[in-house]
Formats: sequence, structure tokens, C-alpha cells
Amino acid sequence: MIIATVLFPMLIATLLIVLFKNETIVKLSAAIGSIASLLLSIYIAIFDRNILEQYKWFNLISYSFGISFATYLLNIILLLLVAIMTPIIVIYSIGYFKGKSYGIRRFYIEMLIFASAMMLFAISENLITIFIAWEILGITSYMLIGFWYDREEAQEAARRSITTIVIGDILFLSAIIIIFATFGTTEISGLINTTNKSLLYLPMILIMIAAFTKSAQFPFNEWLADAMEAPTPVSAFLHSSTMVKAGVFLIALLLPIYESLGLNYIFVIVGVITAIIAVTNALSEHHIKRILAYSTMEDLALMFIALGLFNIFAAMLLFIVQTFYKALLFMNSGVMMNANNDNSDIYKIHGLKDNRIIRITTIIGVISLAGIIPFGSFFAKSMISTSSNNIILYIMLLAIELLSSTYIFRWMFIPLKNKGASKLRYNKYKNTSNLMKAPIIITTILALLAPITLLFLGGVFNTYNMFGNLFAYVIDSIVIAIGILIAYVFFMSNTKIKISKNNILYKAAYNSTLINKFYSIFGNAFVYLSDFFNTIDYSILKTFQSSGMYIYKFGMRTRKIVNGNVNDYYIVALIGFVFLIIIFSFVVFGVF
Amino acid sequence: MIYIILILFAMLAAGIALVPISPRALCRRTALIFSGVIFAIILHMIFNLLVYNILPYSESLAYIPELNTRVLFTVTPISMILMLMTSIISIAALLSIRPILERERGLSFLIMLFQLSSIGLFLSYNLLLFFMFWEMGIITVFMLINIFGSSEGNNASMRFLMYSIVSSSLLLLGIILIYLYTPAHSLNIDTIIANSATIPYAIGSVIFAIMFVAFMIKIPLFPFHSWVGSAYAEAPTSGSVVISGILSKYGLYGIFMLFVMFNTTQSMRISILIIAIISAFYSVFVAIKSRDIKVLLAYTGMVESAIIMIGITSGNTTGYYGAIYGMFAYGLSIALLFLAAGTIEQMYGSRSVDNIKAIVKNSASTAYAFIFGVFAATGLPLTGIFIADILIFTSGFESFGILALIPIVTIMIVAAYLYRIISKSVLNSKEPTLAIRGLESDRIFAYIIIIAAIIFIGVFPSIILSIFSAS
Repeated sequence: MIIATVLFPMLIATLLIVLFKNETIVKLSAAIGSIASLLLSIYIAIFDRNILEQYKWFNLISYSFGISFATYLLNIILLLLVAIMTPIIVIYSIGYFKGKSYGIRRFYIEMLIFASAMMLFAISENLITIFIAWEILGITSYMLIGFWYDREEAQEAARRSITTIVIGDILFLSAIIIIFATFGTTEISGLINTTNKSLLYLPMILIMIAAFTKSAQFPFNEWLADAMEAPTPVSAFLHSSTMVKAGVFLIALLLPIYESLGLNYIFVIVGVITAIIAVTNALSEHHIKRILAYSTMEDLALMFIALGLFNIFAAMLLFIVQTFYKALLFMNSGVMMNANNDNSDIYKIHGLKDNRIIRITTIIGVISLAGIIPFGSFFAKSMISTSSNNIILYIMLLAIELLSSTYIFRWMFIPLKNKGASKLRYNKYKNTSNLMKAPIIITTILALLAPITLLFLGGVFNTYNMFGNLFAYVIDSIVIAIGILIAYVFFMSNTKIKISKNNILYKAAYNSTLINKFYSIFGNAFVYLSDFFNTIDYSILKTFQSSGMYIYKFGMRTRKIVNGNVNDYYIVALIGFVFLIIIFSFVVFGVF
Repeated sequence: MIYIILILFAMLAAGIALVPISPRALCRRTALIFSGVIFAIILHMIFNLLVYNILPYSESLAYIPELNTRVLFTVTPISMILMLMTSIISIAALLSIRPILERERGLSFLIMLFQLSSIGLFLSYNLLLFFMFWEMGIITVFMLINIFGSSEGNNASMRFLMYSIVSSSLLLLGIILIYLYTPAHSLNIDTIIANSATIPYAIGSVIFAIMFVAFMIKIPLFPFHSWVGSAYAEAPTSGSVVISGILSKYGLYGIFMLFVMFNTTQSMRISILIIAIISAFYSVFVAIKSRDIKVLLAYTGMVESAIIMIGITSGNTTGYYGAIYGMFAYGLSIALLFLAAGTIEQMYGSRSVDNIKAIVKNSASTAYAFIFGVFAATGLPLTGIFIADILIFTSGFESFGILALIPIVTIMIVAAYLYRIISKSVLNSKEPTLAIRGLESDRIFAYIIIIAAIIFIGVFPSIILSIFSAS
């Protein structure tokens, strides 16, 4: 159980929160539990690498189900990421909930269970353990998105998210069943080393779809934008840094199998489509967190494209760097929304230029996302775009990079341009609790330092020649700079540029309604089917009831023979007696 | 050890006898005490099995020597698990009887009687005895729905009774045919199993078909399911818990026994599988548009029964054990859902999904119990239902290939409409509906018992599974 002890501090903290109602105890135990898990994970990352632990859970005759944990490199990366982000988010949320003490125990219970499930996901080596963690992630995400009970939109968003995720869950379960029945084991190392790979075709496709539902890829991508109804710490943790990347991680673990089955092109296609959808929607969105949600969708799509091009190094680098800058941007947006009365429209958020810390950290976050050399996602994005030899793909990826820098600078420029200086707002910014500022600063430092992992990873994954691609670096920098320029011209400078509302590009940017229409076609189909089956149900019931009615009516008619009239009885008896004699004579004497 | 079955029945009989004569304030407690004692006895039997490996034991009394019939009770591992389920659900149902507002003496009496008939059914190893307890269950449920049910109770109970009478007649016909055609002319199940090869194939398949239709009406499966919506909906809360958890398992246990007694061919099994698939998809689509929460849950129970059928028809041992595990786990989860739904009906006076909002504000325990029930029904790991799903579908896939995995799609649709109820009614607190009554504090214990049982068998499945392999 050595590896699984990372979960124990958080689980004990959950138990304490369930038992005690005092707010201070709740917050303290959450914070201490997550920091203790962080320390344990660091210990395991340094001293207990490359361990595999397998336990038997239950067995029935020939089937044996086990749980296994491992600390290989991929597992350690995700474990450390989750362990670092959890205390940061917990401390941020202590500050965030200062004015609102509504349901705080419920919040921490759900967050800690989520974090434990994420750590369990990180250390699992067995498809069954992954599935256990996967489902718990789904339900805690549902409870956290629908956290504010009195917001109807939040409940609706939570319902849409869980309905999408359950599709993936059930397909994942089917894949596990097929793999288990065929191979008798669900160990990932066993699957990678098996010789008969053609049997894995169907389960791997099912797992791929499950990963798409969890990581909000086309056509399952609408739930992520709606999930921004959650409180900001939830958005910063679940829907940017950890849970949505579970799908990417699963595919990364199983990548050798996809390689030998030849299914990688699907990842590239789906990733490109999702990235285009995400980028165009982010350009037209006004809600401050939904833009970041679309940006998360775009990052996940880039990770899938990288995995599809077999560049696991680039995918992991983006994985690590994206955690920090995305959480940073979400936390900053939480501060901005707090200071503006929870107003979420970027055209109405004022005062970004007043608070120096928030301004500087936002600028650093935005630079990391756009990928200006040498910060943040620069190396990752340029590695991804140069991974394939296809010129069309290269141009599309460059276009995506351009638009992504445009939209994220738009996200920053519009609030920067809004006038600030209302005294009330300035005080609100100034009074942002240190518990919110400290995690932001820590995350900024981590976001600045994150690209250095390039050097550590490079030696393990493959030997990457950093200086061989200078031409690509130059092109990427130019593209990103063009994006910033566009954003500046449109949104920051004082020139007024008119785009007519009938412009085709303008309309294309508001395309999330099309996908929602696509979903509602499915919903309506189910409702029609349900009407049809309800009619059948009603007719079956009426058939049985009417057959009973026929018997009843037949009885009513036959009853009329008993009419109390002795003359009728006498005649019927006489006729019957005559018949009886005739039949009797036939039977006994054989006379006809 | 020898007399433990008699002790069990003595406790049941004492409970049933004492309830009508005890003072009004104590009758529910009396029933609870005796149910608790029965639960302890069953646990003791399981403990004996696991630790000392004492099995099987049977109790045999002379009954009708001319018909070669003895009163034969045998404790098999399967019956132990089903009895455990019966006692847990009965305790929860007794805890959910409201002391002043309902006629608690009648309800406690009927629930104890139903518990007697269930335990007798699962223990009996003689077909005539099986039939007697079957009928007893039907009559008890009829009384529950008719006398203690809500406004449409008369109609619903009559419909239930008519369907059940047809089912019992077919069952009796099948039993008589078995009696006539087994060479040993005995109704004991073990002699039937031993002699099953000697029944001529033509008459054997007729008997199988007749009894299969009889059980099909009871589970229920499409197309004989029309009684289920109204019966479950009009029953009182404790009645719904007990009916949904246990009565549907009567039919499934019967089909299980049928598969044990007769040999089946692969083509027969595939046709039964197709019946189960059709029934599952049918009930899922009918349930989407239901406006009555209990009717919706009744159809969800039908889907779960169809999934358990897949386990039974797969024909291999994993399938049988998975089906029994599934009966236990799914029985508990649907009982929990009906308990929460019955509580909602008692709190708000209405069962309509459209009108009720913000259950979580009025009774947080009911809301979270319902949410947990939905998690369990969709197969969350660390609940027993996940284990049951894996065992059932793995065995189904082994026997039938990809055809057996098609019903797993119905779980997605079940999840879709159940989560819709949660987000529109249970958690949505924008305009809370006012509750017309509060709840007494005992209700939360009923939730806790069932939730604890579901989680226990989900986290430690090896305890239940070692019961199977100890035989």
C-alpha cells in the first residue's frame, strides 16, 4: 500500500469534515490534508519510482479482478501535478468563500473526494482502477458544477455534463468487459505486450470515445463551456487542470496499442475539428470564464493532435505547462469577477489596471498561453506543429496558433481598456484576501518555471534537438506576434473597426448553437421514440383489459338464459333430455 | 445447527403473531425486533458457512406421502444471499412506516407476512412448497396495495391480482406436468435435477415454455408488464420498497431454478436473451416520458431485471453467480430509490415530476439518498451494482458475443432521465415547493442501512463471492 498512501491524508481530512461542523476545522483540515498529500507525493516521486503493486480484489472461479498501482514516469508527472494544484486551489477557495459560507462543508467534501480520485487515477496501472477513479471523477464533477443549488442554469449545465460523461463511462465499461473476457487481464502492461492485437480493435475505439467525452472533444464538447457555472475554484481545478485531462492521460498510457492498431489519424482529425470549434467560439464569447473554457478545449485538442502524431513528448510538455497557466488565468478571473459583483461579461469588468499584482500575473498567464518565446507553451506548440510532414496540417496548426493568441489577448485587452478607478471597486481589489493572492503568485512562478521541465523530460522521452528547429521557432513567433497585433488593433487601440453582422466569418464564430441543435435532434428523437413506445404500452394494456371485457360481456349475455321463467326452463330441459337419449343410444347401441 | 431453519421460522411466526396483539405504540417495534433477530440468524448462518464450512443443511418433514412430497427446506448459498437481501429490505421497510399517520399495525403485519413468504420461497426445495409461498406472497402484496395503497389502489391491486393469477395457474400447470413426467414422480428439486435428462425433449420444452411464461409475467418482462406501473405507484412507501426489492426477484429466482432444473440449448438461450433485450429497451423508452416518479422507477426496475436475465441466460457459472449478485445489489438499489420516492410522495402529497422542486431544501437526507440511489443504479464503482454488472456482462459476452453488450446502452438512457429528475426536482432550489408534512427521524436509519449494505458489498465483494465458492 505504499503508493496508495498519498490518498490517505485527504481521505482522513474528508472524514474530519463530515464529522465536524466548525468552519475553522473544515478549512484547516482541508488545507492540511492536501499539503500532507503533497508531501507524500514528493516523497514517493523521489524515492519510490518505478514500483508496481498489484492487489487481488475479488475472484470468481476463473476470473480474478485486481487493483494495481504504479509509479512510472507518466504516473509521477500527473501525481505531482495534482498534488501541487490541490493545496493551491484549496487555499484559494478558502479566500474565495470568505463572503459566502453557503454549503462550505459540502464543497470541501466534494473537492477532497475529487482530488483523491484524481490521485487514484494518476497512480493506477490497471483499467479497473482507472475506471473506478474515472467514475468518481465524473460524479464529483457533477456535484461541483451544480454546487449552487439556487441557480437553475447550474443544475442544467451539471445535467448536461453528466449525461455526456455517462456515455463515455458506459462505453469504457463495455471495453473493460470485452478486454477482460478476451484476455483475462486488464493490466496495461499486459495489454501493450500482448501478441494478438487485432482483438483489441473494438475496445480501443470504445476507450477512445470515452476519452473524447471526458476531454470535451467533438462531438461531445458542449458540456465544458456550460460547466463554467461552477464556482471559480472548481473551474480552476477540475475543468482546466486536472479532470478534463484524464482522457488525454488515458490515451497517453495506451498509446503503444493505438500505434500498433493504426488508429492515430482519428485523434488528429478530431483534435483539429475541436480546435477550430474552440478557437472560433472563443473569439466571439463574452463570458470571461467561457473563453477560458474554450481555450482549455483548444489545448486538449492540441494534446490529442500531438498524441495522434506519436509525439508524446510534446503532449506531456503541454500537459504540464497548461496546468499552471490555465489555473492561473482562472484564479485571476475569479478575482476580477469578485471585484465586479460577480459580473462575468468581459465588457463590463473594470479595474484590471488598478491592481498591480493581478495585472502582472494576468499578463504572465496570457503570455504563457499564447506561447511567446521562451515562455509557457511555446516549445510545446512548435513541437506539435512540426511533428507531421503534412503541409496542410502545418498551416492549419499555424492558423490555430494565430487565432489562439488573438483570442487570449482579446480576453486581456478588453478588461484592460475598460476604465477603472471607481473607489469601491478599487477597495474591493485591494481587499482581495491574501489567501487568494498567494496561490496566484505561486502559480505564476510555477507557470514561469514549467518550461524548464523540457530539459528534464527530454532525456527520458527522446532526444530532442532544441536547436535544430530554429526556422520553425521563427515562424511560430511571427505567427503569434501577428495574432497579438490583430488583437491590439481590434480591441486595445482606439481605432474603430466595423465588421458587419452578416459577414460569414462573424457568423461562423458563433457556432456553438449549431452543435446544440445537433444534440437536440438526438433528444427529440428519443422523445419521439418514447411517445411511440408509450402508445404501444397503452395498446398492450388495453388489449389485455379488453379481452377481460369480452369475457365479462360474454358472461353477461349468457346470463340471460337464467331469466326466471319456468316455461323456458321446462322446454330447454325437455330438448336437452331428448338430445341426451339420442346420444346415449348412439354410444350404447351404435344405432344411427 | 440442525434446527436453525425451524428457529428461523419460529421467529417469523412469533413476529407475525405478536404484531396484531401488541399495543399500538409497540407493534412496529415488535416487528423490527423480530426482523432484527432474523437478520442476526441469517448472518450467523453465513458466518458458519464462511468460517466452519457447514453446508448444505436441510430440514425435511413428512407432508403428503401419497404425492411423494415432503416439506423440504434447504439452505444453499444462493438462498442465503437472497434471504440476506430480504431481511435488509424488510428492516428498511419497517423503519419507513410512519407511526401515527398510517395504519402501522396492518402494515407491519403484512410486511412480516411477506418476509415469511419470501424466506420460505428462497428456502424451499420442493415445488409444491415453492408454489405455496409464491401464492402467499401474491396475496400479501395484493392486500398491501389494495388496503394500504393510495387513491387508485383498488384498480392497481386488481390488475396485479389478475396478472398474478394467470401466472400462478401456468406455474401450477408446469408443476403438475413436471410431477407427471419425472420418472420418480417427485416434486423435490434435487430429484428433478438428478432426473432432468430423463424427461423427453418435446414435453420438456413445453414445460419450460409454460413455466417461463409464468415467471415472465412476474418479473415482469415485455409484453406482460402492464401491471407494474400502477402496482408500484399505488403501493404505500414501505410496500413499494418491499415489492420492488423482493417481488421481482421471485420471478428471477424462479427462472434461475428453471435453468438449474432443465438443460437448455444455445438457441433457447439466445431467444431468451433477445426477449430480455427487447424488454430492456422497451421499458427504457416508455420511462422517458413518465410524469409520475414511481412509474418511472418501476420501469427502471424492469430494465434492471432484464440485465439480471442476461446473467441467468448466459448459462455459465459466472453468469449464475453474477445474476444472484445482481439480484442482491439491484434489489437494494431499487429499494433505496423507491424509499426516497415514497418519502417524496409523503412529503409533498404528489408524485409528479413537474411540480416538485427543491427536495434538498426540505429533506436533505432524502435528496442525497435519492442521488446515491441514482449513482448506484448507473453502476458507480464501489457499489455492489458495479461488480454485478461486470460479472453479468462478462459472462454474457463469453456466451453470446457482442449481442450481450447491447443492453448496456440502456444504462446510459436510464442515467439520462434519472439525472434529469435530479437536476429539475431534487437539487433545483430556485423556487422551492412547500412540503406538506415533515419526516420523522427514523427514516434516515432506513437510508443508512441500505446505503451501508450497497457500499459494503461493493467494496468487499469477496465476502459474498466466497459464499458462492464455499459450496
